[in-house]
Amino acid sequence: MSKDLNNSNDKALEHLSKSLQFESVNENEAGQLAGGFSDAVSEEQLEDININIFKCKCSVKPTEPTTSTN
Amino acid sequence: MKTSQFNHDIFHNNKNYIYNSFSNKFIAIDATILDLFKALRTEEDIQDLSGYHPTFYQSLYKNGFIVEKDVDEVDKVRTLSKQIDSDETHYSLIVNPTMNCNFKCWYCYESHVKGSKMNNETVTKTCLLINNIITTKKELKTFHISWFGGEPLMYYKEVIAPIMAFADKICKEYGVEFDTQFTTNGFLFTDEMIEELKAYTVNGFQITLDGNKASHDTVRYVNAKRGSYDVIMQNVKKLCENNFSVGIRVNFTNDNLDDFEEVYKDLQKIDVEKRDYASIAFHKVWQVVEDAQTTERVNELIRKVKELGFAAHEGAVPDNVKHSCYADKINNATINYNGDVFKCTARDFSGGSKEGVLKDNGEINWNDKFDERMNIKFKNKPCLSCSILPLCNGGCSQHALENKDKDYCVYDFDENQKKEIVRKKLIRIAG
Repeated sequence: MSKDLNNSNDKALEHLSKSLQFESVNENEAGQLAGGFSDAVSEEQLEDININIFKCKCSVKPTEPTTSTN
Repeated sequence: MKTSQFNHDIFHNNKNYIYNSFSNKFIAIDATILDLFKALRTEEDIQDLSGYHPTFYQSLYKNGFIVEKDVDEVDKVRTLSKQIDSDETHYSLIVNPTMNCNFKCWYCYESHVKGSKMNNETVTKTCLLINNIITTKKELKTFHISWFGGEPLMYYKEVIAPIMAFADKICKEYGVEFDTQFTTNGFLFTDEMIEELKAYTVNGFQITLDGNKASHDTVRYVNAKRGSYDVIMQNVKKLCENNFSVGIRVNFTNDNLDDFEEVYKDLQKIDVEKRDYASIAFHKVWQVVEDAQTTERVNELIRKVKELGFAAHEGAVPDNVKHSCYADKINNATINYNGDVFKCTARDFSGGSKEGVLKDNGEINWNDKFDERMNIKFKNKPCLSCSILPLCNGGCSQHALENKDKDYCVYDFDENQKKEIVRKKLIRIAG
């Protein structure tokens, strides 16, 4: 990850954290509810999501362990 | 309207959240509103919600938590998966210059083939393959080479340098962006190599640490008297100082986590202003079963290293549809040193597993295994009704192939394990 990407990720994280805050639930004059939930946020707003390009990125264990010749 | 099959609710750090694994959206939510959300069972319930909490209803609809009644959500995932795996704008080539390595790590699944080295003929054939890809794929915008093995830097001059120079030249000629990446043990870098690499867009080196100096040197050693930790750390520093991104892969077991506090001391030798070039990813050694205590300790270590100015995350949070494995994609090939062609790199490279052969004219002659792999997804019935299908999808194509004709779940049908996946995603954004 590049230096610029790290900096922008820090900013994105700060933004995401703010976006997860919400106003308390309240009732308006028409008797409808409002508030009580935050904006919708996604980790995709962080920029360090890469294609799974690195070796051994498997998130599950190999089903057929292999043996080394060495 | 109906509720999505991909909805989750999760309690984390004294807060309630809802999450949809297709839209990949989290919403923090008041406990009272969560009760309303959980009570949405019928079409009528959803209709009622639109009346008494219209803004919440709109948010749920906009972010995929409620969907039109006739929407086939699995089909939407299938369509997305196909679109991503058949993307014609990108090609990723993985090249193994050798299957030999100067280390002998206990957990490595690769077979070390002594004396193995890509010969001139295969180097030429690989260049011809690159030529074919760049000149015939009209939609191509980006071309990537990952260097892999074995230890790829064992044959930098003889294999990597000529292929990389050729790829860079032809990509420039055809207006295709070229970048490259190395999975290396980080021991064999030279100053000359680092200078040469500055001519290319190198978007990362993955280098592994197995603990502090003492632990690392018992796993990754050159010989009985010579470990590798000091040299690798020095090279990591040098790469960062030369503005190269280094992904330090930390292989952890339940026993070596305390070691990393010492590693952090060594990492601080990297100048503060250059630390952003290093990122640390924690990966559990696959033979080890992770417990809750270990998970918390890893999170603590991630927090600590971030405070020191490095980027860090847990490396293995699945997102297998939107960010599927390279092996699942049609525009990917792994060229072994001997010209055998593979897709998956997380198994051995024995001849019996190959999925194709690189021909003299630089074309790949794929065998039946390739077609089977490209059509294996969405055949496992339990996945089709699973709430994390858009994240997991039964693992990768390799996993699906190895479990062909049987119902399986990579999380052993354990809903708690699935919930942990969602929690790990949430931790990335909410801490």
